[in-house]
Amino acid sequence: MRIAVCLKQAPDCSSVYVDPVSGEVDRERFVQTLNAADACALEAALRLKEQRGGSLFALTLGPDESDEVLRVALAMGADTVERLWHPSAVDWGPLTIAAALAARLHADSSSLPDLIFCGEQSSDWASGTVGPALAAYLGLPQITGVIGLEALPDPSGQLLLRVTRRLERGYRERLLTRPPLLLTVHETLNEPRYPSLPAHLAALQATIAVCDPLSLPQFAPDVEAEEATIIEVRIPRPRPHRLAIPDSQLSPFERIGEIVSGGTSRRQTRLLEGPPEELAHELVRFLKERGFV
Amino acid sequence: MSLINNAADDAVFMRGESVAELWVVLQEQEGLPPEYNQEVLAEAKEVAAQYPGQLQLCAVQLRAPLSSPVEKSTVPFFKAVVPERLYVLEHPALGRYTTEGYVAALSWLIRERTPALIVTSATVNGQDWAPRLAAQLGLPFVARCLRFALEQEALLALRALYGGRAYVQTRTRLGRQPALVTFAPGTRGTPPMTGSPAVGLPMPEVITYQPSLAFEERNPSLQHLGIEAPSAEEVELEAAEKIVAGGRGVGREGFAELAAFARLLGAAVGASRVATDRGWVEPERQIGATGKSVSPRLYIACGISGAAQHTSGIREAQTVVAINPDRNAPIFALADLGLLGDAREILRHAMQLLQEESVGV
Repeated sequence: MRIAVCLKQAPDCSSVYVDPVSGEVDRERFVQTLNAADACALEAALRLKEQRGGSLFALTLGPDESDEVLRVALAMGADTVERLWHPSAVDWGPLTIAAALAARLHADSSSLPDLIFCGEQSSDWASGTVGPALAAYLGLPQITGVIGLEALPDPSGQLLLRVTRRLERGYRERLLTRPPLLLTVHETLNEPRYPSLPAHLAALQATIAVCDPLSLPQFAPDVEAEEATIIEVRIPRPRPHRLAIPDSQLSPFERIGEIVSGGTSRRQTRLLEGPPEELAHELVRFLKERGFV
Repeated sequence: MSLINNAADDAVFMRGESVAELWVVLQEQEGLPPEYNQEVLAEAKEVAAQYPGQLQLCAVQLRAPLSSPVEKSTVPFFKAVVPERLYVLEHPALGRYTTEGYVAALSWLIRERTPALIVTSATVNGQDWAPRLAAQLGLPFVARCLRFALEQEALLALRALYGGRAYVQTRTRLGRQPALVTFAPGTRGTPPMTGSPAVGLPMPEVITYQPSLAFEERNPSLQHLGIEAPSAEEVELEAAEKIVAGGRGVGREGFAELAAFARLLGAAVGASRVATDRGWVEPERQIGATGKSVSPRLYIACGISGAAQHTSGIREAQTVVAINPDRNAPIFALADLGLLGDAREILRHAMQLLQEESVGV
């Protein structure tokens, strides 16, 4: 089985500093890492590969520094890696990037990979677009927001996947599927492994293949139709943090009581005691009165 | 976001017509709060209002054909904002969400009517079909907007960057194709829907299509197993309407009973720090200064004494019930109803009562 995983280097969000006056993002401070959801995609791909055999190809699109994420992939267990880059790609939006990745996957002499893994969204722009767009360009079915993945034994010997999707408010959708398929993975799917030191050192020595996407036959980006231009970056207004200020009319003892209560307003409490059966009755009656049952 | 010129006569999105359409694609899904559609409608209405008479607000509903004509009246529940027109697209494959079904149905409708702008909520499913549709039809696409506006030749959008550490305003040039936007859910925060649908407001003009969509089943091996509602231990605390929380007084074994009671009530399970630190419940369930701040309508604190570190997380709770054996527990000062006793026993009895009633009815 051939598996491909698309990775992105993204800044760790806690290293992002935006100048409050100029609104400029201080890129010098960025700590670049493998995007969290992509790391889970890589881990999921590795687990499947280990279970079922096959090869794993890790692909990224980014400048020279992005070699780092491919080295991580190599250290964790990817078989082959490749980086796509062209200086004009700094301005590409997610749809163009997906088209470039699709062109690269099409360019292989053999057919498309059986499975393609992507992170659901990146930590910087979080548009969640590359995965579904890549599936569209490759003509593959897609499952997004994967939070559970399990390879089931199948009598025919073909791979059968049991997939759980994350929906709103804790709802889950369960699906049963077979490759070929593209999956986008949520960052809670798994805990990515730490590579061993020898693997890590070997990955540091590896040469990373680089490919110019514009040289790919199936890729012709419309240079004029840029997806979006940035007008301004600014920091959000901080969320007001409500402080509990005690009422100055109260006695010091009561004021301390208010501070200790964390600012939660006092209420008229109806305090009841008695045997548990009676109290349970009271509880149920109260819940009914207020329309909770 | 400023709009300089309100006359849209030369605007690209008008395509030389006198009236253009702004679509809001409604989403329906188990567990999906209807407010998500309402807030997109409200946001879109504001954008349409910039071009009075020229930009028409339309809603799009995708569904399976209804079995009985009586059900025909199930027009989506519009509140406060009623679109001028409602397109209902019926196809047997649209009974539940599938990527292929939505993409095929909307591609068909876009070819049929070519709107200026299509907006939908950036839910998990919205973010599933929208980028795919954009890639397939080559539409300009902006994901997870916080706000958006139409200019003569471009779409302005406000988006969050780096997990909300920065906001960015972008301009996307419009072409002959409609633009597609997903709107970050919860941004506008429409008040929860209660009561009846908008009374006295004009109902939208309903246009129903039943196209024969020629979308091949792309993945015949894709089998839908079902959608599961979250258990009491899985409901997101921030969104929960009712929470039953436990603390030291409940004990490890008590949490199973507490969860059973919560399930019966349709509530989420919460906990104080003691309970999460001891591993009785998942750390995500912790409420308070080092945990989550919650705003349920009902909060039942069981075996929680009410230290400030915990109660600072329940400031927004509307109704509080406290169960504790200690008469002097500070939680009682914050509760509407206080019950002096062992939480496990009281919950067990209350559960029996509730079950008896549900059987009796």
